[in-house]
Amino acid sequence: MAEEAKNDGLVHLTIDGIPVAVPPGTLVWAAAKQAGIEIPIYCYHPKMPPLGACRMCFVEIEKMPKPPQTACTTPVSEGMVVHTKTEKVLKARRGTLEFLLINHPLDCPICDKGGECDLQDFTLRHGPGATRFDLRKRHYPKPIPVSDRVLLDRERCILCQRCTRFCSEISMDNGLVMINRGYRMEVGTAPGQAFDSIFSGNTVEICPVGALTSAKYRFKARPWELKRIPSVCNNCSVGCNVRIDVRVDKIMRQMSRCNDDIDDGWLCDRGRWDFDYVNDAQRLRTPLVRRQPGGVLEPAGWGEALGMIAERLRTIKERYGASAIGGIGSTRTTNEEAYLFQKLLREALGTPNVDHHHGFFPGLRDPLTERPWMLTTAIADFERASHIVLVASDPYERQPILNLRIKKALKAGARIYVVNESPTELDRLATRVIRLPQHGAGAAARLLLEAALRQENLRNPSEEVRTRVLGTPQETRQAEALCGAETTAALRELAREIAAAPAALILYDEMATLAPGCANLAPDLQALAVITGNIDRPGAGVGPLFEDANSLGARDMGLLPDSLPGYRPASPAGLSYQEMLTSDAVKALYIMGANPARHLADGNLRRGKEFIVVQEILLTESAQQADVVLPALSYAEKDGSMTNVDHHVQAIRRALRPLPGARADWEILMDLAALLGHPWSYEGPEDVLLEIAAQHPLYQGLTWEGLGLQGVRTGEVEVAHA
Amino acid sequence: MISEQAKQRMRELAARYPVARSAVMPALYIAQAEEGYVSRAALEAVAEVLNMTVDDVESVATFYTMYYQRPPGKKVIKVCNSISCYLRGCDALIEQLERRLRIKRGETSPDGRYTLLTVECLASCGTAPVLQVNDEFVENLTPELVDRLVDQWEAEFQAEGQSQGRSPAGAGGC
Ligand code: SF4
Ligand code: SF4
Ligand code: FES
Ligand code: FES
Repeated sequence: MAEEAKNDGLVHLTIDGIPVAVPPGTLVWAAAKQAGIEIPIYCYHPKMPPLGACRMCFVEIEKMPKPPQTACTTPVSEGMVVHTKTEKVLKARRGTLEFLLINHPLDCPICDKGGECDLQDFTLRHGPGATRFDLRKRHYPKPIPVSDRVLLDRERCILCQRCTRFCSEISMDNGLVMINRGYRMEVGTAPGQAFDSIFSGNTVEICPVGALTSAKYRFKARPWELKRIPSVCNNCSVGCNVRIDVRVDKIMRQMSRCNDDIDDGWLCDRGRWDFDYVNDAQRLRTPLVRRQPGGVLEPAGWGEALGMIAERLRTIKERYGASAIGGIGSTRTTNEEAYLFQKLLREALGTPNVDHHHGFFPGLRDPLTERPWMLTTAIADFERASHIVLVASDPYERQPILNLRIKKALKAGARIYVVNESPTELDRLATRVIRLPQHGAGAAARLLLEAALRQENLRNPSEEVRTRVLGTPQETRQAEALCGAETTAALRELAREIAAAPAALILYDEMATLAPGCANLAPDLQALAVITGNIDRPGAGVGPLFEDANSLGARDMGLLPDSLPGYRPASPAGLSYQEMLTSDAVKALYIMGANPARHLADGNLRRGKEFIVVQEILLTESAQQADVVLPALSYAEKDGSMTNVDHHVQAIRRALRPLPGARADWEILMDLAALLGHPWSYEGPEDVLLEIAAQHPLYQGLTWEGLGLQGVRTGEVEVAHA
Repeated sequence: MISEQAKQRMRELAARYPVARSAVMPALYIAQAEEGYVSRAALEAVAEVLNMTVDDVESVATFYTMYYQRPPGKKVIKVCNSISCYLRGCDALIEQLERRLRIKRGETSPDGRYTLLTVECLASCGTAPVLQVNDEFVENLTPELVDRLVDQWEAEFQAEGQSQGRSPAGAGGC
C-alpha cells in the first residue's frame, strides 16, 4: 500500500485528518483547497508567485520549527501533517486581523466592496470580535484618483501588494508600485504619473478590500443586488470570459470569469468597462423607414418596415437580377446570425454577393497546409514558444489580453521580436525591435521568407515556395529598397533565428494585410512558418490576429464572396466588400451590424444605390443613410455562439431583458426570410447551431449545451477528420 | 537635469550586471549626487537608462531613506536613534539639535542650511551615541560636543557668507 502510494508521482499529506495527494511543488494552500478546506488569503493569488506578506494564511505543520507557517509559501512534502484549525492557528489569524483593522476606517456602509470583501468575510469567520486599539487611527485624504478609471483609498488598503504585483508580475508595466516602507508604506505611482495601463481594472478586481475602486462602478450597486450572467467579451477577437453583472436591466460592470485557455483570469479595461453602448439612451427602439426617396427617416412598425424591405428587394431583383443585391455582414454578431444572414442572401434572395470587412487572405485556404486562414496554435500554447515574432501587430492596442499571454511566455523564456512601423508597448521587453517604414510589413514578410529559403537544413523545404519567391528577385529587391540596408540585415538575421528556433510563433494583425504592398503578407508569413517547420509543434505556429469578437466566426459561416459555410467554394463567387460598396451594378445593400460608411473616403454609401437596409444598435453613419433601419439587440441581450481568434466556439448568453422595440438579428432574419417565401423553422439559435454543426467540419458535433461555460476549441478538428 | 556624463556612468554600471535593473541603487546615487536629491528628472533618467518604468524607480527611491525626496540642506545631520544610541541618550541630543537648529527631525531649515534626520543603526554602536554630518562620523556625543558642533557650523556659514561678500539669508542685519 505504502509502496503503491509512493509510485503515483504525487505527494501525500493529511490536512485536518483528510488524506490528500497532489503533484510535487503544490502549495499547502492549494492542497487544502483540493481537500475542500478554505485557508484565508490576502496577498496570495493563484495566478502569481507566492509572497508571504500578509500573514493571513497561517496553518500548523507538525515537526516544522516555529509554528505557525504560512500556507501560501510552503510547498507540500511527503507525509506532511497539516492542521488548519488548532488554537495556535486561530489565535494567529485573530492577531493578523486585529492588526489589519487597527488603522482600517471601517467605512463598509459606503464601500463598493461591502458584501464581497475578504476583510469583512475573514473577520466574520476568523477575526476577533473587538479591538484593543483605542488610539487615533491614521488618516489619508480619500480617495485619490490614480488614473481616470481607478481610485485609491489608502485607509482601506491592507498592503497585501496584490495590485502592485499584478503590475510587476503579470502586466509587467509597474503601473502601481509600493511607495515608502514601514508604517509609511502605501500604494501609488511616481509623482504626477497616472496608472494608465490597459489592464488597470484587474487590480480593482483582485484587491481583496475596497481600497481600489473603479470610477465606472463606484456607488452604482450593492453586490447582492446584482444578477450575474456568464458570457463572453464582445470587444475583440480574444473572447475573454466575462461575468455580466446586471442591476435592473442595466450592465453595472463586467468581471473576469477565468478561462485558463483564453484569458488566464484577466480582462483588459476595454472589455471590463466599454459597454456603454448597451446601456446607451440613444439605442434604436423602433424601425425607421424613408417613405419617399430623399425624405427623412421616420419611425415605423415592424410590419411596415419588413414589408417594405421584402417588396423593394423583390422589385430590384426583378428589374436588375439577384446579383444587384449585396449583403454586408458583421464581425460582432453571433455565428448563428452570420449563418442565417448568408443563407438569406444566397438562398432567399439568390445573390452570391456576401462579404464583410476583413483582412486580405488569398483564397479560402492557405495552399501549403490546405487549412482555412486562422491561427494555427492555441493561445495557451503561446507559453511554450521559444520565439514570438510580432509582425505589424500590436496586441496591447488591439487584442490586449494576448499581450499578457506573450508576457507570460517571456517569463517562461521566450524571446520577443517586434517588427512594426510604430513603437509598441512590448518594445521595452523585446529582445529586438525592427522598425519598418510605412506600409513595410509586406516587404518585411518577403525578406524574412526569402532569407529563410536560403537557409541550409530547412526543416520542411517547399519547391513551390522556392520557385515563387526566388523566381521573382525583382520583388525582393523592391522590398530591400523599401526597408533599407539596416532593416533588411536585421530581418535576415531574424529569419535565421526563426529557422533554427525550437518553436517560433509568428503573429500578424489581420488588418495589416490591407495596407498597400501587403497582399502577400499572410501567405508569406504562413510559408515562412511552414518551411521552417514552425507549425504543428507545441508553442510554434503562425496566424492572423483577428479584429473583432466574431471575426473568425464570420469567415467560418461563409460571410465571404468565395466561400460557403465550412470553406466550401462558392460558385459563382460574389462581389467583394469594396466592390459591393463601389460598383454601380449593386443597387441594393443589406447591412447587418456593420458600418461600411467608415471605410469609404467620403462616407457616402448611396452612390448608385437605390435601396439600403441597416440592422443596427445605434444610428451609425451607415444607418443614417439607409432607407430602412431595423433596431437590433446587443450581445448582452441574446443567446448565441461566437468563435474567437484561436477557434474557441463560446456561448454568449442573454443577460438583460431585450430593449423593448428591438429584436435579435436572427429573429429579424427569420421574419424576413418568411416574407420572402422561405419560412425557416428554427426555434432559436440552438437549432441554427445544429444546422451549422451538420454541415461545417469545424463545428461538427457542437450543441448549445455542449458549449458549456468555457466553450470548445475546434480549430484542429477539421484536420483530424480530413 | 541629469548630465550626459552621469547617464554614461549609469550605463557603464548597468553593463556590469546580467540584468540592467540591478544597477538601480547605484544609479540613483549618481543621480542624487547631481542634484542633491532624487528629482523627477533623476527618476526619468534612471528609468530611461535601465529600461524601467518611472514608477518602478520611484518605488525603490522611496523605500530607502538615504535617497532624498526633496532638496536637502547644505549640512545633512543624521542622528542614530537605534538601540545602542538610544540607551546612551540620543533622544535628548536630538531634542537639543532641534532646539538649536530650530527645526524638527525630518525637516530642512528655511535658509537651506540644515537637514536633521534620525536614522537606524550607523554601525558604530561602540562609540554611541553617534551622528553623521554629510556622511562624516561624529562619535561619543555629549550635550557639550553637540553645542560645540553647532557653533562650529554656524561659524563656517558665517565665514562663507563673508567671503562671498554678502550676509547669509536669515541672519538679518549683522
Ligand atoms: S490596494 Fe488593495 S490590492 Fe493593493 S495593496 Fe492595498 S489592499 Fe492590496
Ligand atoms: S482582450 Fe479583447 S476579449 Fe479580452 S477583455 Fe479585452 S477586449 Fe475583451
Ligand atoms: S496569503 Fe499567505 S502570507 Fe499572505
Ligand atoms: S545603535 Fe547607533 S550606531 Fe548602532
